[in-house]
Amino acid sequence: MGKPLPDGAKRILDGLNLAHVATIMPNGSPQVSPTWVYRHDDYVMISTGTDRQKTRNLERDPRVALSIAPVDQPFPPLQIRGRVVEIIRGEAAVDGFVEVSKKYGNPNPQRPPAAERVVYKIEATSIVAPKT
Amino acid sequence: MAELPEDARKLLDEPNFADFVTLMPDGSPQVTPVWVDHDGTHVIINTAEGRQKPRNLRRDPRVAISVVDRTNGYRYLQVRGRVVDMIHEGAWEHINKLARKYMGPEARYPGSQQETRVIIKVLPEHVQLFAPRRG
Repeated sequence: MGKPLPDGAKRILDGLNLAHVATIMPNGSPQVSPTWVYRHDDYVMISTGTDRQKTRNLERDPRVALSIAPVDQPFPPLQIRGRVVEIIRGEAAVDGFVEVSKKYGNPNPQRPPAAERVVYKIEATSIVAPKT
Repeated sequence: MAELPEDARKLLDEPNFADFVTLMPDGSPQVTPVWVDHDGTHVIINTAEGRQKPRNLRRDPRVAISVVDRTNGYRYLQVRGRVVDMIHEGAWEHINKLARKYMGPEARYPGSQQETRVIIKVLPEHVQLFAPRRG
């Protein structure tokens, strides 16, 4: 079952921080890339391109981990392990791209073709976070 | 193995954090922000015995690392590789060297002095470097 995100996790996820998202390659080895994130309630949302390695990995294996050490205050960092519980495609995925682009400072992002975008909704199963 | 190009070594020389992925017993990923170093060939991490990372690495040496320029999120390095050595000797001197790199010339590692520190040497097998085009 997914766990609720404590306030410290929500604060870091809502900030303009880069997350490092780890996925599993076809041979079982790990892969990690810096990624924008946003949040819907207790879920971590990742908007990405359909041509990315992490996309191919997450379509095959929903297990995921992410860490964030904010540049202005790296300790204590946020560490989450979890899994993808919903894959959002089509125009709803483009909406996710627009939402995350606005969050990170582009007030008027151009909508890319729906075939190029996907959003992963992630529930946390293990959380290490500051309390506030 | 894969070479660390000069621009990758430069990114590792600057006080940028690395995010270091190991594999849990069930094969799922675990990732933590860490200080990072290199010796020209290996990417080098320093952790403490008793933590999840060294336990995971003794079971499965496959790792992934990403390092982002703290001043420019579009300049970053991604490494996949494997741990080829885990060393206790000199590990306290090494963590204090990293403290100076990340915290300042007079700094010492601020955590518990009772820890058994361990140097982790990663041999890169796949290296990708991303940098904004220069205009």
